[in-house]
Amino acid sequence: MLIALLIPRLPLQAALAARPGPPPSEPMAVGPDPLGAPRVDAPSAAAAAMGVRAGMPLSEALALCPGLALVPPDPAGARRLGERLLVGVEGLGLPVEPLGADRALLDAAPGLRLHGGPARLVARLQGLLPDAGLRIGAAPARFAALAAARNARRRPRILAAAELLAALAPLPVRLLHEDGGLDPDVCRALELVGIDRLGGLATLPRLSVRDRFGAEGLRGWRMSRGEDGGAIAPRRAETAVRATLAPPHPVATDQALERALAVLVADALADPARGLREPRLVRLEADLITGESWLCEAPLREPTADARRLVLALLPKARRLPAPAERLAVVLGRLAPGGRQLSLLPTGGEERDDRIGDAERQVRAAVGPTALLRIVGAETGSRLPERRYGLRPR
Amino acid sequence: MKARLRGLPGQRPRRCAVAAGPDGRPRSVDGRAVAALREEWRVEEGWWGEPVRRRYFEVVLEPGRVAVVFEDRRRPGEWWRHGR
Repeated sequence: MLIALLIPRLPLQAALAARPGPPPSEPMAVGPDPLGAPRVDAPSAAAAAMGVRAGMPLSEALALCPGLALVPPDPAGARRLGERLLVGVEGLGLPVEPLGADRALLDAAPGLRLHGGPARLVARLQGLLPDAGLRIGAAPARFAALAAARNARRRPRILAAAELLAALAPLPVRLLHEDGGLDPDVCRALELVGIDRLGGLATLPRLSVRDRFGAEGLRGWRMSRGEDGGAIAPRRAETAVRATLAPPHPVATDQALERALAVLVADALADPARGLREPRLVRLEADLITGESWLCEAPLREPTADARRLVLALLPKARRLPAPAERLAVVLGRLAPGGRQLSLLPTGGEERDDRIGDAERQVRAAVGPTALLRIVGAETGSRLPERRYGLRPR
Repeated sequence: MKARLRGLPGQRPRRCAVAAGPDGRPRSVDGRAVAALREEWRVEEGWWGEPVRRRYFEVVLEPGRVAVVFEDRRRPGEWWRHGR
């Protein structure tokens, strides 16, 4: 049996925890992100009742709900709240798979006897975040568990294998994308042919679905029938070291930021908990003087403990700090054994070629196979210059 | 992956504004006066498929920059330039 945990309106809860906002009955939403598009997120129940949806442009949200109160986002707080849930579940001895910031899936089987049965286990899960209104759903399959959690309120919703089809049938097809990660084009295609409920999809013959919608359609069909598997991919224990700094004056200039980062990275690298491992991710968390929090992170191509490279990787993103920061923290995450070894004999340009190869692979993965082109001779003797050379994908 | 050949961006000719004299030779290119005419040649080929008829000039423009321009003889008055 899988159990899905969902923290409803996580961004709003985190933002309200950081600073007192209007009473919960008021229509409110998180936003706008100081660096992003002017959109609202995580509308409260009152705002949702007036038509405000997550991701809606701010102007549209205010037109629908003129009294909408906006709460500044607190992404670091949201991350902490989500992490508290995951650490809590792991503390109960259960493997957990995080699915985004606000939801997680866990396998209850190893913990049922340990915790004295499903009722006690659910009670302990509810006690992990007592004020967050955690929604809990349980089912033998992944998508069904997530759908159950979405529809759960105060009491957990538990679906037995026999009632999966009936419970999933009335749900809209778009949930296959929102909860199951199905290609949105497939969901749209299903809706276009009149299949807007999971029941309509589940009753179609398997081969017809595969022929018409391909492998992705088949995956959706399995989800709609609660046959998408009961296994999870539990996360590995987070390996990270952290250093914090609360300077006497808020960090407001590029120069101060650079110096603070250098200090923080050096502190984090000196943490004995790191040992000989090297980070593959560096993250900056900042508490701004405006009361909001802000974070940015830079994944690294290879593990490195070179302080200069870590600062260089983080600095371009850190410079987008939207306001002076009262407190800064640097987290070195995904610690791994150092990958690059020194060679005994000097080699001519091998390291450079390796790095160029790495960069090439990354550019191609990020931008697409035609991002890098090779110059090749086409009609090198042509009297028309534009025909002499050409570009082709490598 | 389908390997399709594309011309180099710097080599593809682009339209330019040329003021030509009565002899058909350029006097100014993109607003810059022609200081010297270094060479002139013609390209006529492709009659079996896509015909190409060009009258090329290599000129030195006023600040000292060399430019290669041509007039498309199939559409007289239409000038093109190679490179930047």
